[in-house]
Amino acid sequence: MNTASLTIQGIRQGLLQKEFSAVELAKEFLRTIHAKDKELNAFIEITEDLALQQAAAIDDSIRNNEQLPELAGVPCSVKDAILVQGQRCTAGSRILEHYRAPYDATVVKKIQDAGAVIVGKTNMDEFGMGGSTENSAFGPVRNPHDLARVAGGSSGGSAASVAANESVVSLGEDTGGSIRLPASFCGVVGMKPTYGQVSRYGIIALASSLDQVGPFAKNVQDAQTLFSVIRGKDPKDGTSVEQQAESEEIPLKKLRIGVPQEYFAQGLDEKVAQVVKDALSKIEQAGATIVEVELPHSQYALASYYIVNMSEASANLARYDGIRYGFSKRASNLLAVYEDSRGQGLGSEVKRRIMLGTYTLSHGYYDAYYTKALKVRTLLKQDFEKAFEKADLIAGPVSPFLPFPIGEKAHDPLAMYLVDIYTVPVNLMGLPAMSLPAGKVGNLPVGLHLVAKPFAEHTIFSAGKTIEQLLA
Amino acid sequence: MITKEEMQKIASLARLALTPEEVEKFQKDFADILAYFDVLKKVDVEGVDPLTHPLAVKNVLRQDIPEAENPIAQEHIAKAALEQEQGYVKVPGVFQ
Repeated sequence: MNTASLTIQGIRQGLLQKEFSAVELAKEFLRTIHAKDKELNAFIEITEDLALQQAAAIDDSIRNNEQLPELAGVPCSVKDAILVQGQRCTAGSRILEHYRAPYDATVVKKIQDAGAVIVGKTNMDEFGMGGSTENSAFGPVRNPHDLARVAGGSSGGSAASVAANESVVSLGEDTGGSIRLPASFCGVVGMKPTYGQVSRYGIIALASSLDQVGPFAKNVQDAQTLFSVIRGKDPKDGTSVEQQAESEEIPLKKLRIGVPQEYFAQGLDEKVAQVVKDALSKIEQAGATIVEVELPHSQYALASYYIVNMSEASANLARYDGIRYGFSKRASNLLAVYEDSRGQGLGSEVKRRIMLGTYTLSHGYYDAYYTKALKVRTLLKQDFEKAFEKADLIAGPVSPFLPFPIGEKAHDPLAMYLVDIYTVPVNLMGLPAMSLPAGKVGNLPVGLHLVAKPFAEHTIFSAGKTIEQLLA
Repeated sequence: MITKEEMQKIASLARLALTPEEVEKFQKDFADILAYFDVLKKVDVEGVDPLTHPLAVKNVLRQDIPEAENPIAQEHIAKAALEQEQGYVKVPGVFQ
């Protein structure tokens, strides 16, 4: 069975025309996972029983001639920061190694109601902190295009599982680029919705003003379909919003694509720059207008982002205290339980960020760091608003780097932070953005980053479908 | 360079027990990363308000009506705790 070319629509046809059953399809993907994953390490947990159960339910529906829901029979992997009831949920951390989810995340409930078949929980940088999935307590994820290189992070497992045909789609989570970067590194489509479009209920939180769940797929249409299933206001997530009117579908001939001059400066690998420039050239030849835009405060975005990320993380991770769940070190007094459980259960990048976030929020430093970062956030917002007056989409590289060798940046935290330099402003602003494959350097994928105004997912998806065909 | 004492103070606030090696590594990391953050000193933020949320959010309230119990979740939650007794989470004494 050739699973590599299967799409959501293709699966639906195949099931209805009885070319295969949902159980047969699930078994095929599970076989692939068993064959490939010892090497790739994209999965922390393979949820075989759950998948077969869900697939059997779809086969029952087909037998009973029932209307099939949107994701019927579609093998889907889920980042291990997203709760699936009864299954382990580790967030890539030793401190939650044996934790079992007491309930389903809203997004999981939605994909289940839509008939998806959950094949497993994917590997990730611990608590979402990382750009390579090397910070996982369960080993790094290898890039399916080059096993000696990283898959990107923090949703490396999700991206790799789609790229390696271990699943057709995946649910990831993006706080500073954690969907878009691995999508770029693994040569698949990855999309982060506008902040508030998708419920965060049941998502293990990293930074609450930045986190968003989004889809991974092999093509833009499937990413759009998965997004349409998971979106929606949720009474359980106070930051989720009512569905807005769909944004415009702008035909290529009317599309204005803004390219920030600041992005093609030093620090960007020239081979990556060339792939992105060639892609933009093709798009221009097909009728779109490329305009130069300015984001003058870009140079401050990464610092602002990391201060916000670390500050919010230090608060969000206070709950891992060895008392209510997770790894716990029994001790003679309460304080020792906290300090030892956290000291031993949390990885070094996590501890580093908690320490820095505690510092930036502490008395005497709060204004110089946290408040300052939030004011810079306002200035960045003004930059983007001005840029969107001249452009419908803002485009550029997803990362300054090609997928790098495993271990190369592992000992230099700051070098790892620089991997996210183009993706982080998007989260600070809550904007929707997508990475789609733009080309390759040798066999290493390079993604094109497309950013739109708040709630303009439709504009990104429709332009994305056209661009995807152009670059194929 | 942040002193070992300051690092210990921060670790204590963060409820983290660090080894001496970790303290030393983090001192160096702090120096590098805070030096990078210093780029923000160059920005003039006179008259600029801080932005905590990218898009306007409002507080969300609901009616004060108890929701249906979720016994499966309750069971999971009690089981997950370090110590539990009759479905309640048991903790070491707070004031010892």
